[in-house]
Amino acid sequence: MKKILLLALAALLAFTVHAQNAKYISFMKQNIALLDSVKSADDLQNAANNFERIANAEKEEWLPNYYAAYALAMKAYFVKDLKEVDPACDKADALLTNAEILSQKNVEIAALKSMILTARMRVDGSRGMTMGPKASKILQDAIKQSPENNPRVLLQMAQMIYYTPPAFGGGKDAGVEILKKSVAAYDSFKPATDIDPNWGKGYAVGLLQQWTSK
Amino acid sequence: MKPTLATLVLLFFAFGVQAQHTQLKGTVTDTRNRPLAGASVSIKDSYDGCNTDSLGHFSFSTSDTGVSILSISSIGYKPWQMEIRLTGSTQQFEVVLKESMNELTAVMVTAGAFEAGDEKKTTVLKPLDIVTTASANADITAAMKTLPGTQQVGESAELFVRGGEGYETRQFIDGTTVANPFFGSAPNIASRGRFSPFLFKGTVFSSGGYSALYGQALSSALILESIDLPENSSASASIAPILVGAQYQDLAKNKKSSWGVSAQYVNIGLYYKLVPQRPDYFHAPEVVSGDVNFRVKTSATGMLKFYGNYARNVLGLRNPDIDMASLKNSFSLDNGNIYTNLSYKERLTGRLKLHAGFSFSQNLNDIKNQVVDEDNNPVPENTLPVYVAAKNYTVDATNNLWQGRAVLDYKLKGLSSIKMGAEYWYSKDISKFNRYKSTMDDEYKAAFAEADIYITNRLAARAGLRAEKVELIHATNLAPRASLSYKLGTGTQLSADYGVFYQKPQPQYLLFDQHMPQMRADHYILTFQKLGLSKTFRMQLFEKDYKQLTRLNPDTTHNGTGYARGIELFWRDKITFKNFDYWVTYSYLNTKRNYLNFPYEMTPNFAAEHTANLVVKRFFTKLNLQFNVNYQFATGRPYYDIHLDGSTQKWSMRDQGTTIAYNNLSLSLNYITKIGKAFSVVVFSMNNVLNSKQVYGYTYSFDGTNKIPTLPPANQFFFAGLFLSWGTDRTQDAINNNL
Repeated sequence: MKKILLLALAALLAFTVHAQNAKYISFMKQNIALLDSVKSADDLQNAANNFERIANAEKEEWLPNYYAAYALAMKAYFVKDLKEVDPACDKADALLTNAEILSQKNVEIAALKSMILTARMRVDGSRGMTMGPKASKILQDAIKQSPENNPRVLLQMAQMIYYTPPAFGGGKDAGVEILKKSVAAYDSFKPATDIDPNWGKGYAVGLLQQWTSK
Repeated sequence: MKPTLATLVLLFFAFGVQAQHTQLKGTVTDTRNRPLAGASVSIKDSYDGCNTDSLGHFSFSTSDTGVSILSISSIGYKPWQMEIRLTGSTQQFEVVLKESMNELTAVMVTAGAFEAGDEKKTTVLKPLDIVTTASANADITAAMKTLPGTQQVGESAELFVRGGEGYETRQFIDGTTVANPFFGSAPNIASRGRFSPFLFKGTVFSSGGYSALYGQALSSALILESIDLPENSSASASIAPILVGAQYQDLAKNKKSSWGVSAQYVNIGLYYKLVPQRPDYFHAPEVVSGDVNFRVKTSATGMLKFYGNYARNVLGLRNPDIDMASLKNSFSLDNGNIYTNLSYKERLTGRLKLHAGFSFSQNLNDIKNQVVDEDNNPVPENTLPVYVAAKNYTVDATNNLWQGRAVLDYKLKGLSSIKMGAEYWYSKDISKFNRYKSTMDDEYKAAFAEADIYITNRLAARAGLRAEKVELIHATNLAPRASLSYKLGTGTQLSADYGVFYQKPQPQYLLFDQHMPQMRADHYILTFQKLGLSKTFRMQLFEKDYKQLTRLNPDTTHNGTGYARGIELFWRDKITFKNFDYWVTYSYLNTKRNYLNFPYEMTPNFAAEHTANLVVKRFFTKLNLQFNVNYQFATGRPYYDIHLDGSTQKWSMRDQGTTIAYNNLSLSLNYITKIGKAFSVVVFSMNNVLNSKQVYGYTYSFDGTNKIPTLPPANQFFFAGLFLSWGTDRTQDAINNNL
């Protein structure tokens, strides 16, 4: 009798855990899908809020923090009023710090960090002098860390090189070369799970067309 | 039977409660009752929640029961939380979010100062602005002369601010003062600052009402903050017809420490052969200098920095004698200078920071002035009138300054903070004027405290007090400082500053009288500022009252007085004209003083009534070319012939006048390119492009019958140079090695 009771209890527990996990996956999927249909900075803020709420409930998962930061980084590119860039980036950085505690030495986080720094340069071009090398350092370390070449790291790197004057070690041709590598890396990229980062391919392909068509 | 029941109970717990839903609804607004869209509403540790819509409304249901926490957050606002009981019935909330305090939205306490640097905050100037100001030739103080409040005193490198003497502006590096910020120079010829602008990540120029953390400057403070660890190792070189230099910076592999060395040699001889100078240089200015630095990250939040610099500069020139046309004055200078600065900063606890600094500097001057004949041979003194023979002199001086300083910075709630600290200076000056040797030792002690209190996001107050003691003259003074800032709207604010500032009398007068009190200036400043990302407007009204200034007429006393008042405007716009960045300044100054040998209260010869500046910059991205133009204008300055009557021993006015207005158009070009593996900048600059006549004042002969204008050594100055650096960007290496 006791055995049956214990079994039932175990089954119930397993079921609840599974249900909880399924709920997490489904919420994540739902919001990741939402990210693909954003039309405005406000949509991105809402998406970031949604992810942040998941992060608050799922304290062991880095992905909700990561996606919330990603949505805010995108918002920093979307907003027209440059005064909104830094607050969004500050919040994104704070979320990424949480993500990094849960998942260390993660190249996806590195790519996003660099993206946030680049967004901050929108506010003032002269920030490039200090933030450019910082972002480039983060990406270089990420490249060294992942021999399999993360496409998002390469995408960030390509954009940075492309817009850096040749005198500073950049240039359009060099940028295109790296972007090609990024697109190739996208082709072979398989995310670890359905909800792991898998964004940017369409953008990279479009960008490559744009850069090479001129 | 039993298991079924147990299972049922468990199932009830697991799912049964889900049957009950609580509906939560409400509106979120800011303190001015405007709806906040996009705020996140959530039940703590749960998925349940939603975002507010454009009207600030939210509505969602939760299956949680019992006591929980409803929290609402929005970027730029303080998070709101409330304990709620979820009972199944609908609940309604009206939530008001308060703006959070942050440096971007809060009122600025230091609105009166011009700040360059700090990549995050909205600042009026960027570090690069100092290097790309056409008239400045990468000299920090010269760049400051394009800001309101400063005078165009072409015969001096010092900053003359709001009717103050050059020595009333003091420079500080990482908290400690710099005793000799400029290279040695001949009388009435401006030299340059000793420190490269690239050493600093932050520059604050306060034209008055500066913080209680600093003292011994009656008018103004130029506060420089040195850079921390470099991003990577690098080598650089500078080549120009007048200089060669090399520099190396090494960053340790673990990125925890760095060291660097540099050396530079300047010789203007070749340039003077090409561009004739008014004085007859028998030794063109020549400088040999070198510096060393190291920086160590002592912990995650600690940083120890050392910077040491040695420079020797030598020059010699001859000018016609004003009293006897057949004679010349031969002036020579040999200056050696050591400057060292050790600073340490650390976060002691979460809220408490320590800034400590030590500095030692030594300045050696060997100066000789000799009256010579047409063949440059010394003239025997007994053949000369006394007033001409008096021009033969030698100065052999050594000035030492040791300093120590510590400041504790305690962060209160929000942005408020309290700073407390103390400093100690010990100076030893040994000088020999002709045969007369003198030694002067002095100790200066100060303790200070300052609180920045953000009363609301719109209103902030700063209150500071500085206690000073100058041992030599037994002076103890209390200097209060205060300011109040009120934010009128986004980026717009009004501030009022008040402060009392003390400075000990100049050493040449202390030699004769050590019973003088400290000189005193009281500042009253009103600032209106509108600071945006691409446009800045600032207007300042000020009044400055001087007391206890040194007087020499009829005797050495300390009852000199004076005042300065005026209005200053600054406008910078980076957006209206595509690709152009410009700023315009205007300063009106009304100042008079009665000090030194002045027979009565009058405007000193370093003060012009109207001063204006136009600085324009344009970067041509495709050409990698930066083009800078700078126009400086000032109305004429007064000049005087104050004569000492031999019989009455009183000074009286024998002649006076006003110089012609000052005009200076400068331009510079910076071309960025790659030479081999080196990132290179080619610089070309030209001062006084229009070849305007510039007269800084007049000097009079002993009998007053002859006056000659004080002119720059040459009307124009040209510079061309090449600056190379290697290893500043290793991006390409990383890509090549890893892809």
